[in-house]
Amino acid sequence: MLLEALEHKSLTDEAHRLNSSVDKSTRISMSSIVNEVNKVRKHYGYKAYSV
Amino acid sequence: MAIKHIAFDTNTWVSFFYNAHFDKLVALTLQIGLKIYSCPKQLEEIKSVISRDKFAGKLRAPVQEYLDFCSRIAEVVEIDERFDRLADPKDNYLIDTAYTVKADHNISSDTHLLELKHLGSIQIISLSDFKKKLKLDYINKNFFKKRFGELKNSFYFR
Repeated sequence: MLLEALEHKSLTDEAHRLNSSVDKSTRISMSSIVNEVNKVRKHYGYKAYSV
Repeated sequence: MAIKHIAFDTNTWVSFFYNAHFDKLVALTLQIGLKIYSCPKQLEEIKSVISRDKFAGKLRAPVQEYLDFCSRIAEVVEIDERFDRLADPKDNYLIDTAYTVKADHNISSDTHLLELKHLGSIQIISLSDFKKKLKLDYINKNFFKKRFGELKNSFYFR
């Protein structure tokens, strides 16, 4: 129970830290994100990753 | 079908990152109790996307810290790459991930995937539909009503 609470707090703290690491001055649209992901998939190809 | 086990498309992960919604990812898992799944291939893909020049400077911490966070939020599983029915074969591994973990929902913003609506028991829905459906699930379970005051300003639905 205590370990779980500590893990919860640690994860929450980390989330807030990472939230503040994001530059919020520019907004990136969902369609730009989808395009970038698709470019990466096209570039590396389906079997190229080492799993 | 209630949302319990989910697999995100890479674009969904990156959207959470770029919108500084890391706390919402925590809420989904620790407060709402969803299980989120990923695979090593997806972590590589996330790494490649957030390392690209186009959005350089958007995320200011080292890339590995975002990947480590993913690994803490999601259960990262090895997948069997056997699915081969998507029009774009590069998307197949997303379905492999969902099948491997018996996910009930795959959350994506890719129109090619969303047009499918479902594959077997896996519902493919957008991030906004996911949010709406999650809210309904909670109302249906009465859980949301009971804890509404406590949760409405503090977690995923705000």
